[in-house]
Amino acid sequence: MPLVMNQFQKTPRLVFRMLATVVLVMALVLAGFSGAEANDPGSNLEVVVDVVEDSSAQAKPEKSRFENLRWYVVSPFTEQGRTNLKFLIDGTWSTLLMSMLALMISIVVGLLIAIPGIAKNKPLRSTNVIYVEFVRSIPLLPLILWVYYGLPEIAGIQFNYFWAGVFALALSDSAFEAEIFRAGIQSIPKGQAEAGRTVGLTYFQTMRYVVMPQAIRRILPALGNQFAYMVKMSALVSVIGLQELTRRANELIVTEYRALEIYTILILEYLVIILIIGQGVRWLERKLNDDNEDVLSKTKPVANSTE
Amino acid sequence: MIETVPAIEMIDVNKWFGDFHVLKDINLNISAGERVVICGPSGSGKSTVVRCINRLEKHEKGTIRVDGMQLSNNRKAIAAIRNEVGMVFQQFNLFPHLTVLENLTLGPIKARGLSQSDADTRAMALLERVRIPEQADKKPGQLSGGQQQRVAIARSLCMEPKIMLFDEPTSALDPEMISEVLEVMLELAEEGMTMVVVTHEMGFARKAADTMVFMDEGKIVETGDPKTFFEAPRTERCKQFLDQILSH
Ligand SMILES: Nc1ncnc2c1ncn2[C@@H]1O[C@H](COP(=O)(O)OP(=O)(O)OP(=O)(O)O)[C@@H](O)[C@H]1O
Ligand SMILES: [Mg+2]
Repeated sequence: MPLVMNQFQKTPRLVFRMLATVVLVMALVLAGFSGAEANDPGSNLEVVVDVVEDSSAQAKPEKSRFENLRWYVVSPFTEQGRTNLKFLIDGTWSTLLMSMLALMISIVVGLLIAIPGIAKNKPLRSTNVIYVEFVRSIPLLPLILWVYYGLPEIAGIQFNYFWAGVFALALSDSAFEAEIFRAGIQSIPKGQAEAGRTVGLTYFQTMRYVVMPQAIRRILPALGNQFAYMVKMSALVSVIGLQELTRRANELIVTEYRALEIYTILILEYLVIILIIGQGVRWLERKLNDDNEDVLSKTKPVANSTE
Repeated sequence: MIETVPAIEMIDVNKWFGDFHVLKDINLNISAGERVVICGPSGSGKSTVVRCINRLEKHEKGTIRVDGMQLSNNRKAIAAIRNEVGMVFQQFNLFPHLTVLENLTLGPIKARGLSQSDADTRAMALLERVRIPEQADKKPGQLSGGQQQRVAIARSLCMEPKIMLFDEPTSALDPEMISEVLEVMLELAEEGMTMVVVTHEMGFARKAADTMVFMDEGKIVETGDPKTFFEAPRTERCKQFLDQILSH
């Protein structure tokens, strides 16, 4: 195993990790179904077999259960499989676009909600608390249903399912973003904002140029988490009919009658998307830190020698 | 015309942190070009006095005027006063995500609307003056404490203030770095900058101060010129304090 790792060390970590995980998941799925057949004496199965005293009869259904898998419905090597795969993968765009729009909106709203949360003024702070407590206690699925089926009755506007999804996801996430931003801003020492004010910056300039750039570096991992979470939660929007990844998988199962194979592909789709997001966030983190701490350690000797 | 407006005027200033009466009837009159050194035991309210001058803390009672402008909740007045007052902190408070040069130019560019090149020129001249022009492109974290504090002084000067406030500028420094910072401060004093310095560096006080202020328990206990202050302190409390800090 270490050998394999070494071999791959030079290749981009992204590719390696993705492949490794995909292979692992596939292997687990297959092993799970072939496992019963391969069970050695001493396992639970053996006990059952002893009681029934017909080991061949017991082994048969296990074997056929494994053989029942019809990977060809999603195999890239058959015509039918390719068509199905394309149908499934075409949902990626909806899932991604919806999640990204929702993320952008929730970041903006979250920031707007976080700022009163750090104010000295009590009423301002309570607006923050009320919003956060209220919004984060709404479960996402009912919220999606409420926005899609309920809101038009009072708002007089009918969202299409895409925007209903974006809106519900963004609203639900904004409370979490607000908390992340508040924590991030509060983690920056008070002296930073004070120094900003003493060099003549206004409150918002101090936020914009002094506090936020430092806070963002600290909350980047948390923002990445929220994005991954958002992509996964976007699956719930399938209930109102948006043809994103999950909806497409469900529709395909209706025609192919193969849940295991199609849901496996569905899970792998999410997995790949979230792995890519994770790598993107790590890359951003490295890039931001390169301007900062990383460079420090590399150039420290130079700093000392110029003294 | 004779300059009659005091640089800083504090009249019966009182401040509370909750129930804690931190400043009690502070009266202080500082004229332009005057160097005032404030000392006193920990917790006596020195920092709070200095921070009230540029409204990092809000006083509850009394009057503070800076260059004739009265401090109130009026944002414009606060901004105008902050424009004239520079501040150097014990913990430097440099912006760690910006280079040394950017630390200096942020205020002039964003608050004063200077062009990038004008701001850079001004900043480089100041870095020369505090003798670290070669560090301009580094991040603060790469500098020694003494260098960081000199950058902080240059950052304040880059806003061309009329008054400089120093709150224990050398307390966070290793002993061998204290003198390089004090040197810069002495030069500033010689050039006639109005300075309010909280420090326990009595060598600096003797050389630079026009007026010594001793604070204890939120009150100004004693003020005077350095000579009488050090040689013949009038109050027992002040004498004790001086004995303590001068004994080592
Ligand atoms: N934000 C605050 N809230 C409550 N109490 C405070 C606050 N800031 C300072 N104090 C208290 O006010 C008193 C005076 O503080 P200040 O910082 O002005 O003292 P100092 O003379 O500068 O002391 P030091 O030499 O330790 O810096 C201290 O007892 C301190 O605990
Ligand atoms: Mg202090």
